[in-house]
This record gives sequence, C-alpha cells and structure tokens, in this order.
Amino acid sequence: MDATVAVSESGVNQLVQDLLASAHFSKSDSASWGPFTVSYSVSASVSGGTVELVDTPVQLIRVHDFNVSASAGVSLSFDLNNILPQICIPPVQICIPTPFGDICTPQFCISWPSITVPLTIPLSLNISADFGIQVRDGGSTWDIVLLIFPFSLVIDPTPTINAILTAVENAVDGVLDGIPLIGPLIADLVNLVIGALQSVISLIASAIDALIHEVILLIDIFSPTIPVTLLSFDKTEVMIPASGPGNPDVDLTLASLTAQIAQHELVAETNFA
Amino acid sequence: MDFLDSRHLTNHDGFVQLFPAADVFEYFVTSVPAGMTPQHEPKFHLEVKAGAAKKGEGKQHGVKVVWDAAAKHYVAHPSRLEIAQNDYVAWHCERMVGSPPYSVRGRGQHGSFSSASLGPHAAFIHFFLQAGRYTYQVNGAGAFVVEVLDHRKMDPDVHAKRAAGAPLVKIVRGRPDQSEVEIVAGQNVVWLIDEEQHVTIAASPSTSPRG
Repeated sequence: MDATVAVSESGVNQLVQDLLASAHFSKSDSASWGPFTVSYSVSASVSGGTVELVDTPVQLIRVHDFNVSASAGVSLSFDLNNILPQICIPPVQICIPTPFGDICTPQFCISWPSITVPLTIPLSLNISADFGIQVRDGGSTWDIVLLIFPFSLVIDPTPTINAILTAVENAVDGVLDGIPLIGPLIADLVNLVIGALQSVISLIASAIDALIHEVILLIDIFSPTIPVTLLSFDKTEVMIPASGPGNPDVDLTLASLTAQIAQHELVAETNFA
Repeated sequence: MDFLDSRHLTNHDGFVQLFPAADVFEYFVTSVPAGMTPQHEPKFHLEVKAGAAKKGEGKQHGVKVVWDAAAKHYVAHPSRLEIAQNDYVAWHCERMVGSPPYSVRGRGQHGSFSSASLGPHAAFIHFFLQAGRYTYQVNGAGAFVVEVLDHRKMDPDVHAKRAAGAPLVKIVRGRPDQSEVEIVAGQNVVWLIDEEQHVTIAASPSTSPRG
C-alpha cells in the first residue's frame, strides 16, 4: 500500500452534516375523496444525527437520530350543499296582520356555502439508518460513496387525522354559527360533515403520508438507488507544483483505492501507478 | 350583506299582490329586464273571480317560483291559479343556484301588476340573513334604514322571540312610515304599498356590514 488516509468518526460526522445541509425538498399533489377536495404540499429537510463507524466484519456507517423535519400544507375544500340536507328557516311560518289580511312570510331555504380549510401539519421524527461504503470510479476521481440500506419510515397518521378533523369541525361550526335560526341544529350539522369526512379521512392521511415518504426519498442520502459521494480523490495528485519552464508538475497517479472501517475510522488506501 | 332590491327578486324575497277586482291575468316570472317582453319564457295564468270578501278578508295563496335549469327560465307552481276577489298571492323562490334574479309581471283585461315596479296593493318582503346596517331608498330617493342585529351577540331566547315577528313598513307618498327599523338576523321586513304607483325599494351604496 503506497498511501493511507484515515478519517475519524467525528470527521465523518462533519462530512455527513455537510451532505445534509443542502438536503431540502418539497412536492405537492391534490385529489378528491367523496365531497372533499384536498390539495397538499410537503416540504422536508434533514438535520442532526451522530455518526458511528462500525468496524469489520459489519463495515458500515450508522447514523443515529437524523431529525426529519417535514411540513404538510393541506387545503381541504368542500361544498356543504353536497353534505347537508336542505333546511328552510324560520322553522315556523310567520304571519302578520296587514290591511290585506294576514300575510304569511315565505321560508328562506339556506344555500349552504363552500368551505376551504387551510392548515399546516408539522412533523418531526428521528430516524436512524445504516449506510454501506463503496469505492466508485468517477472518471478523473476515486469516490467513496454511501449507499443506504433499506429502512422503514413509519409515520403515525393519528396527529394528521386529528388536526384535519379539528380544523374542519371548527371551520364548519364557525360558518354555521353565522346563519341565524339554526342554532339548535348546528351540532348535528357539524356531526354530519365530520361523519362524511371520517369515512375518507384515512385515505386522505394515507395520501399525505405517501407524499411525505416520497419527498424524504427525494433526499439523495435516503435513496437506496443513488450513491452519495462522501469523499473524493483526484486520480492525479500534484506532488510538486511546476517551478519553471523546465520543471513541470511532478504528479502521482492513484491506480486504485480501497475503503474500509477500521478501529472506528474510515480508512482509504491507495496504490500509485 | 344581503342583496336588497325589489326590482330583482332573489330567494331572500317574497312578492305579494292583492287583487281587489275580478280579472284574468297572464303573467311572466322573468329575468328579462323591465320594459322588455319575455320571448322564451312561459306565461302563467291567474284568474280572479268575483266574490263577496272585502279587502282584508281575503286569503293568501302561494306560488312557488322554480328555476328550470334545462330550459333556462323560471316556472311558476301552480302554473294556473284561480283565486277570489281580495285574495292575495305570494310569489317566492326557495332556492337559487346559479339562477338570475327575477321579477313577476302580469297584465289583465283591466289592470296589471309588477314586482319590478310595485303598485297599489303590493307588498315586498325581504328576509335578512346577515347582520348590518342596510340603508335603502324608495324610488331612488331618501336614506332609510334597516338595522339588522347579529344573532350571535344576543341571548338565543331573545333572538327567537324577536325573529318570530316581522315589522310592517307602509310606503306613503314615496316614503316609508318608519324611516328606521331594527330587526335581528333571520327576520323579515314587509313593505306594503297601498295606493302608490311605480314603487321600488333598493339598498343604497352606503349599506355596510356591522361587526
């Protein structure tokens, strides 16, 4: 072996943090479930985590407690006319004496409004992941790359479901409260809307969850198919710079490179041509 | 704020006409502006039979106004109505989903009636859904007020009691007999025209919501 470079655990930790600093993605989608149309967008970034270098025979880089910070912006729209029954007010016809005779006023049948409920659902979770290391020929470089081992990311849908149900309940209650003479009916009318929403809320939460997964997998370091370069060495290293017309660069060519974890260090070894 | 204009009726409005003499009317429930003759809209029939009832002794008949979305015009139910002298008819549209405001205009052998230009023995009813201070004009003049209180700021029992009535405002010589009335959201106001001709009642631009 002609040369060896060793990077400590804290050094690798710094390299990983540099990789994560620019890892931020977002994506949006929309779909309809029953009377509800939902537009949702997710942005996610990753930070933190501590690196552990696991020696032979396992040979991997384990990152504990990455913090995945995601935010789902949800806009849920629905036309109450598609959910609520026709209600006409006042419930009892009113008749007033006039010179014509008693005039009974007609009932007014409520045209229910459409409602849009915007809400933001924050999500923060810590995950740990293992990465294998490989050396790849990058053309003019030798690259030490990370490739994540398959991992599962389980997100509890309960907070998302509860946030949507609460926001819709408050919005519908607020809108119906503005309509006179239906006060005693409001609780039942709100329950009708919540009942309709509950029949599809799991599907909505699943779609948001799927988009969160999709966005997280857009971050290269979490992609099982995209190797992420941790360290890169030029194949031709200048050992002595040129000092004049008769004295050109003295170069060394790295003919090969190997990488392994040994004694909690990332060790790269090379042979010169 | 509610749309308030007797010339353009909506589902918030009712139009009442008393018929003091026997006659046979053909009428339109039309979205065509006043002064133009509806071409594509159907005619409806109203026959007033002579009777012994005096004014104030007649009874009310209801005509439901319904938008025919396919034909794109209004339909009156029933389309043919027979009433007695001094009876009165109330036209009202319960639902307007994408349909234009309308007016009821009829002509008989001896007289005519129009919600767009209220005449003798007519009444215009408006259901106030939203709170606010509604300033309105009669025949394009004046600044009269309907103050609509927000039901959310009232005791529910007080609100229910007040909403169970409807103030009657008489138009006399082009002016309401009460320049200001106070009601609650969910209450009607009835404007009654006894002997006037060509009366219109419409909110003026200064109408504003109340918090």
